[in-house]
Amino acid sequence: MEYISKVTLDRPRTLAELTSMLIEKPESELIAGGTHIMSRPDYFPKSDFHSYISLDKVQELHRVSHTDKFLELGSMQTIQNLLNTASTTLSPDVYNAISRITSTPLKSKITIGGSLCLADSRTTLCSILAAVKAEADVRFITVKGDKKAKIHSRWMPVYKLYDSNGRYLYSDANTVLTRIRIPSAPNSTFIYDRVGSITNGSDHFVSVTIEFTLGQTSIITNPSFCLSFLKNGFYFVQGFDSFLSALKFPLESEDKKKIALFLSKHLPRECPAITPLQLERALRLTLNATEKVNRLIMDQ
Amino acid sequence: MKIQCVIDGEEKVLSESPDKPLHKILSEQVPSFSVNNNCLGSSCGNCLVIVNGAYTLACLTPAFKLDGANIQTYESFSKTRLARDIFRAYTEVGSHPCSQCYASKTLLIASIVLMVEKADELAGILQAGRNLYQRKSVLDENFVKQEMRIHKCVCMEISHIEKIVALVCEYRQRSNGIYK
Ligand SMILES: Cc1cc2nc3c(=O)[nH]c(=O)nc-3n(C[C@H](O)[C@H](O)[C@H](O)COP(=O)(O)OP(=O)(O)OC[C@H]3O[C@@H](n4cnc5c(N)ncnc54)[C@H](O)[C@@H]3O)c2cc1C
Ligand code: FES
Repeated sequence: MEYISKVTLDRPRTLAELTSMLIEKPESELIAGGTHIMSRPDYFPKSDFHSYISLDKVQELHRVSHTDKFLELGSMQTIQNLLNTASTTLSPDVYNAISRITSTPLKSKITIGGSLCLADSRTTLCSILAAVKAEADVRFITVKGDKKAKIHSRWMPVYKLYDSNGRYLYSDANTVLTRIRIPSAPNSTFIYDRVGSITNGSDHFVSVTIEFTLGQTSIITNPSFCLSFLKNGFYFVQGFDSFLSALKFPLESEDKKKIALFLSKHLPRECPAITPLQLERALRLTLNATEKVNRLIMDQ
Repeated sequence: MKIQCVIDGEEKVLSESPDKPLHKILSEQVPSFSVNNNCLGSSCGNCLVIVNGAYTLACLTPAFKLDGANIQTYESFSKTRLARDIFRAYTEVGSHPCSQCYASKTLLIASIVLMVEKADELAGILQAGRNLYQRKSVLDENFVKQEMRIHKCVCMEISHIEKIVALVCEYRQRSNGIYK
């Protein structure tokens, strides 16, 4: 018996065409690199009708531009393209962390937009981009009744795209993430570490990301700190208005105890879905990371 | 949708659902292509193929991206000189992939060889050496291990794969006349 496809697919060529299609078919699912969508167990064959809009031909989503201050990349750029274009914008540590995300055949497929807009999973790229203070341009398309569609765009810091449970805040809305901006910070200090694998279950995965600028007198400026628990939580703090405020680097063992105590109290409240193993791992990774910061300061 | 493409050198006109994954198309079109472990992208790596020169997982490649594509499976790759160099290095190192993953692991090793050559070229290195990471190229010392993460079958040791990759680079540099 011949298989009759229940799938429709549109491939707009411009952002304007994409916007009109989303107004016409708000139930459509956007497909970028397809690595997440195609790994779903019910991906093929579909038992119900399904409509996709592929972003692969939308010219604006492939654009790349540089200024002295930042690098701007369309959301359809892949992780591999990001590496190829950002070698001078990113500090070597950030560059290495991104290049270790996964193997090249996958890095050449996974897009920036697909990584940032996964509904319920905060993968490596989200934490790294949040920590380096990247911003994302999100286009909102709202249609109310018979009224004309309202379209507006907003730049926002990447960390503000998520709640503390790690959910992407706009997955139910008719939105497109069109581009990101990564501030140029080739001299910033960056630490990334993780345990657990993204493909082997979310109850084990934890990553820690810290970024800051180290001044000549061992003063740390503009720090950010991010813990990702994949599907169970996303914890981000920026500046020293957080638990970091009371600390003076290099840290003494008393300070490290304070951090451990603060996080063990605070994390289960902020990210209630994290498992005891994730909490334990988060503490260990954070303490290891602060140890690395100490060494950097002492070596200075 | 109608898809015109070339599979292992043969021109095809296919009528497929746009979302159909390439590994399903290849199972129907290429008699020797079989993916034992249909894992849907969770890195069994068995569905590796070459699309327009890029090494890619067929289970994560939808039909709608294939119009005009040139697709190579292990069937045609195994007849290339690069494949023959890899077979020779398997024998020299005394380590071969198991029968379950022979095709896909050989393709993955080929992709690593090409990446090492590109990295060497970027670093201006023309000298082959048997230790990959002593070539002072731009490679991270965990490079091969990281690239192999896309493949779950652990029938070969990473150190053996590193030796195989270094040997293949050496054979190729010699036969291209740039080995000093
Ligand atoms: C085997 C495997 C291992 C992986 N390992 C890692 C890893 O170690 N680290 C890591 O960071 N990632 C990893 N990933 C990638 C990650 O988990 C997702 O698969 C990836 O982030 C999805 O990107 P994509 O471009 O393929 O998106 P798609 O699968 O096309 O889409 C993902 C989601 O984002 C939405 N979307 C896509 N683009 C946009 C946009 N511009 N605006 C709004 N919504 C959009 C889609 O509608 C969909 O809901 C891995 C993936 C696989 C298959
Ligand atoms: S079937 Fe493609 S990676 Fe397993």
